[in-house]
Amino acid sequence: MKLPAVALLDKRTMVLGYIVALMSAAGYGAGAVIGRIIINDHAPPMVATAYSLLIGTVLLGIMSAPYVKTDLKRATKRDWIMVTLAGLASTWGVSFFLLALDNAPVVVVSPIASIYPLLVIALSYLFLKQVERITWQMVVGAALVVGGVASITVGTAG
Amino acid sequence: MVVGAAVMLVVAAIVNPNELVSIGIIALLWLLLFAFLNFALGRFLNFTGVQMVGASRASTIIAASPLFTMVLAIIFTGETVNPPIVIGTIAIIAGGGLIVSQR
Repeated sequence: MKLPAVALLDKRTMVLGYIVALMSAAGYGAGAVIGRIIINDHAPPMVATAYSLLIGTVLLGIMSAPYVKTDLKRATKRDWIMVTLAGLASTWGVSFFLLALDNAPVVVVSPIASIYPLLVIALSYLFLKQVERITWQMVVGAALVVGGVASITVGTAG
Repeated sequence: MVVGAAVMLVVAAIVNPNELVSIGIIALLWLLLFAFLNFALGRFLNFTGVQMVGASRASTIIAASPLFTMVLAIIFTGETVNPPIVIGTIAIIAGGGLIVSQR
């Protein structure tokens, strides 16, 4: 399957994409605070992870229900492998995120968890060369974001 | 996520069996809110953003989530702002701006 080249997208799609990404950041940011409340007062990390994944599965199942039939028909073996790997990576991430919240303040855990864009850029460079163009501005921008979260970590830890 | 939920339910049943079965309604409501923010909102918009602008750009913008965490922490837990936090905030905004300026 040939994927569309991201670098050729129009300005409107780019702006919308950035707004969507910012809204996603807001969801994750608020989720970190809620996660801390859950771990502190209501459930151990493993139990919280299990229930949050279960509830999340139901919520996403409801949201994706209209598309499931057509998507299942189109899905290839490779798609299933990728979906399974993404699910396992997600489980890994949520488990260790909640485990970290059990052992450190949210204002420390959240920024440290946010260094992953550098990893994404490195992996994109290795595996998505045909789809994504990595520029020096993207690398410097990601480094600034990572440096920024590190600075916030220092500021909040002090 | 189906696989992940199943695996974690088994792990939780082994590690914290009592807590797993005796979870309260208040805890479930918090977990519902967490799942909504993290999966229904965060994950769904994450994938949508990646589809629209690519993994590298979207993930870097999404990495600014500590800014939202900080704002909420300031509002709800009375955290104070100091120079490293201001510098970090400026760096995150500058980094995000640099990436957004790319076509």
